[in-house]
Amino acid sequence: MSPDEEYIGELSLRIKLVPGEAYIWDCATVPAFRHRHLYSALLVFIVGELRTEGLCRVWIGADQDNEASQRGIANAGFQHVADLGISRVLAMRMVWVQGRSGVPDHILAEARRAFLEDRDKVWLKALSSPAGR
Amino acid sequence: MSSGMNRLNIRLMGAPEIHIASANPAALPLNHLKALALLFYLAATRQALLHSLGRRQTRGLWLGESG
Repeated sequence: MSPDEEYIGELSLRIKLVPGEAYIWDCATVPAFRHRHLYSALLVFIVGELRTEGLCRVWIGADQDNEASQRGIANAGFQHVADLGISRVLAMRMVWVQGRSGVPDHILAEARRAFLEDRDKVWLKALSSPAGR
Repeated sequence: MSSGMNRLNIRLMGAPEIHIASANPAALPLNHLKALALLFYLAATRQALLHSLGRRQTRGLWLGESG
């Protein structure tokens, strides 16, 4: 869990949060313990703990093809508000945030502020390491 | 240009050349070396480019708000 600023290595993206926000990331359930709704229960617990610490907005990300993770997040009461897209073209990466239908503009603006630093679309240089390409 | 499309031929063996059917060679922007270099690169690596364009990653952003 990150409360302010964090570099998400798997996305090669740095996010910046404001006071009162947190980003939950790098979660996984050991295969032997899957299908027991542990992920949802853990998220509910984390959000409750964060609430006692004064954090009121919690972001979490899940790969589009990870349906199990998305179900767990939804069951924990989270709302799917936007999609973070990353395309690689030659040596550059384009990152953007696309709002989901019905999501209020101010929520989408908060997502773009946190993940794109207020820019609608961001071109980023690819990392020099092979893993970043 | 009856069909609205012209065939573009690019030859990369030897000195690179561009030929566009029905186009006046003088009208081609052959003086833009960087643009030409990029065009030749894309032509030579189109498979890799299409592959890279297909490498699109999407991550859902979920929000939980309390209080």
